[in-house]
Amino acid sequence: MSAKWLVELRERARELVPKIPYQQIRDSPSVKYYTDWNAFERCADPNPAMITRAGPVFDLVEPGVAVVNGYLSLGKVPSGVRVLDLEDLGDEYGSLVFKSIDINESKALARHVANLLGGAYVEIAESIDEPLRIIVNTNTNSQVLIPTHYTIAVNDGVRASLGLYIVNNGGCPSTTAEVYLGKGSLLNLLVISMGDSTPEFTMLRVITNENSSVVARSLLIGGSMNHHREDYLLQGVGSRLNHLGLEVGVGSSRIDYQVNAMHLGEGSSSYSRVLGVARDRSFVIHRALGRIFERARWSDTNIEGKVFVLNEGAYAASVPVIMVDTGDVNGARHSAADASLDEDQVNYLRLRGFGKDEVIDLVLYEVAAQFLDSLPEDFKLDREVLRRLLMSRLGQS
Amino acid sequence: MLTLVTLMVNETTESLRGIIERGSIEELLGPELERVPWEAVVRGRITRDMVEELSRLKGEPDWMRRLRLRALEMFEKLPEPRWLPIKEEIDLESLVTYAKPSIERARSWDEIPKEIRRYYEALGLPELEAKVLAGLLGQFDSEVIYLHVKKYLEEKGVIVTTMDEAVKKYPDLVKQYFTRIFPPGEHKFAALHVALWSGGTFIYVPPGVKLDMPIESFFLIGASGEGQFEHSLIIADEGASVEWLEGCAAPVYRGFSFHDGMVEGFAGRNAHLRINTIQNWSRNIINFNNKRAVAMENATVEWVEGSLGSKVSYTYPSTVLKGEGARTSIIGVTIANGPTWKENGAKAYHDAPRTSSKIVNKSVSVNGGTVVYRGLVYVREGARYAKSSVSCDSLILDDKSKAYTIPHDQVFEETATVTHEAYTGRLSEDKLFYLRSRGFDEGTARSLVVLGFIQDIVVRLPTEYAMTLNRVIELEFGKLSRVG
Repeated sequence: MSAKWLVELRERARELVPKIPYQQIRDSPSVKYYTDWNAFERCADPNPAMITRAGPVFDLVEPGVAVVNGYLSLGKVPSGVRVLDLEDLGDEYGSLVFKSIDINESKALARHVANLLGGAYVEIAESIDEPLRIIVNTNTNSQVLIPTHYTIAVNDGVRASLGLYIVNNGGCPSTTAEVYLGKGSLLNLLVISMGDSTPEFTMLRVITNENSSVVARSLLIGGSMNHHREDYLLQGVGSRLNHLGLEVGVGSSRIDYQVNAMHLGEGSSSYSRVLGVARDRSFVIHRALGRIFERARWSDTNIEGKVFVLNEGAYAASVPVIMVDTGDVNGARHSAADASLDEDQVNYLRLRGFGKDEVIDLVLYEVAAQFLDSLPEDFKLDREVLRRLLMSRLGQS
Repeated sequence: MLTLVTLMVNETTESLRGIIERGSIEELLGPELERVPWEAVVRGRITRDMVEELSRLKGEPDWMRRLRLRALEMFEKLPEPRWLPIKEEIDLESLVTYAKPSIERARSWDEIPKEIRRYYEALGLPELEAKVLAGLLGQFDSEVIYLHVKKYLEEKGVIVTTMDEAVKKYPDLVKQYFTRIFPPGEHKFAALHVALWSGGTFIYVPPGVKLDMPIESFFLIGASGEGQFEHSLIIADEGASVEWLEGCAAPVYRGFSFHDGMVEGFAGRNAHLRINTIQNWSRNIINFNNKRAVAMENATVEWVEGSLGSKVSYTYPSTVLKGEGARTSIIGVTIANGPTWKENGAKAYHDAPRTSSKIVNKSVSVNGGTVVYRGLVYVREGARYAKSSVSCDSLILDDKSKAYTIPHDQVFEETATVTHEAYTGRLSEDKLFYLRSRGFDEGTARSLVVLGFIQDIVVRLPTEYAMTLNRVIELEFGKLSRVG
């Protein structure tokens, strides 16, 4: 029996589903929607009969919290961390869930909440030495929506590392997370999204407090339709974001990756760089927004993106947006490039005897290395796991 | 620096001095005075009957009447563009959608009634025509009231006339291009334009003819509550070269007016087409302009778009690079001074191999103004080795103003290279301090910084336009010390 707040929330969302579209405004005159929302329409609403385990459970890293097909279990939870099942939350904590995410925003969100299967409320009260890893794993035979939600609070002055792994082995994972950073806290955040032949939807929202910092690293690999959005609300005065993302399009995958840095706090600062590779018949999209609101005086934002188009039939799109609502700005900058490999680099390597495919592999490994080497030291175990995973996925294509 | 400014002032024509003395274009044109009498007027709800009436008044051939009616159907069917915060601003039913001034078209300035001539004289157009133009068209409200073309153009087979006349005299030529470059179905306001268009310029330059002097069209809206829907079609045939200048202005109104124009350009193989616009509508005009050109094999299309006036403005000069080796440059300068919303974007469609595009956009916002760059670079699969670079810089001069940069780069070709960079910053206090310490007052120092900011664009403008732009900026920003 679910808590009252959860029942009411689902009910409200259920009423919204038929009333709102996936997207209000088309994305551009030439590409209507970067995300193919029809793919999500093919994901059925969940019912118990459809949610049966099919594939293996992801076990390459040790989880603190594992949620398989919506069912939560606890692993190695560091001391100072409290994890509560969403279903067990009373009204007081329940009122904090989905506080920063507006479910009226889109049909994808309304469906997500209306069918919410589970999730967790996580409180990191003390600094932790080891990362807390949340593994969200779906592995069903049917193309069914598997929505889960995570609300994570990092207390004032706490230093923590958090890994969020979303591993799609079947089913349509739909994952939302809201992360609140206390004053003066520091969070190393690692987000991994491993796609499959079914669509997946992810929305992560990080809200910073005064002088808090987030070092975010995101890796997105494949996915037939991977809609992945990260919002960083730099609400606190002097708060900071340092972000590096890598999106790897292989096979016939389509990745719509959005990173939004929204400055609301005075003197806040953001830097986001996304690297992408589009291989085979994939379509890799990088969208980024650096927005400085009127009250975020003396802030600065820097948004960068580079997508390599590696072969015929692979596509790329970049939409790097900056919006500045005040002249009292330290600076707002963006740059983007969608390009094939640098001809000089290719010629140099070809002259040294590398074949064209080998050159492409070298570039891929170089890009992957840039990402992996940037991971904070707390994630050294994850780095090795991800290196192996990346190499095997890239080798398969 | 002071010497440069002095030199620039000395070099200005009398008319530009007039601009300096008065403070702004709209002050220069003065308030809306007694209305110039209209011979024919169409207003009210936009219906089939209204469009038929417009076509009848213009004595058009039947194919154009049918084209208008098809566009009207599209207008009715197409949704309101949700991407534009414009809906609340326009009450189409309250507008006069066609206003024919009761003046015969003139070939000399003396034939123009003095209440209208004063506008053109204030802008210095008669002098400009005599000095540097190959031809000049003056449109007032919905019709062209002045047309004078230098004789040598006719000898070379160049056609310069009004769009209305071209429809009647050169139907086969017009049919080849009219609304084929910018189809009315693309959005609601394009369809509205085609249903209601009136006036505008038609230029055809035959193969191999290169014009060394530009042709100018100047559009004036003479009254509030009016819609202007002029349509211009500029064709440079194979190996031809033409430069067209488009100026827009309006006096100060009591109410708002609406401009929904369209420019279609065509550059044949190896041709060169250059279109320069200085839009300086008064600040109660809502300006929507649909602009697109096609560039065939090895052709070059250049756009320079200066968006200075109007309350709300949406302009996205676009080039379809259809032939191998075609090139385009799209240069924009936008100034949003006061509570205005200015979108000045650009679009480049790479449709063929080895095409290249360069987009440069500079914008300044002040006194609560908002500037927006909204752009698209689209590289189709097969447009091998296409190259595109986009650079946008915005300068915000105070804490109330805003600047948004919204580009889309879509690459469907592995050998293409598309790059984009943008920067938004504030007026550098260091630069201001330096200039103040050398004796400039704050207003002059600000205008010099702004001029420096857009200098690399101004140098690409024809001299007279560059001087006008410089003066307008000096006026707009020189005043700041008094405003603030």
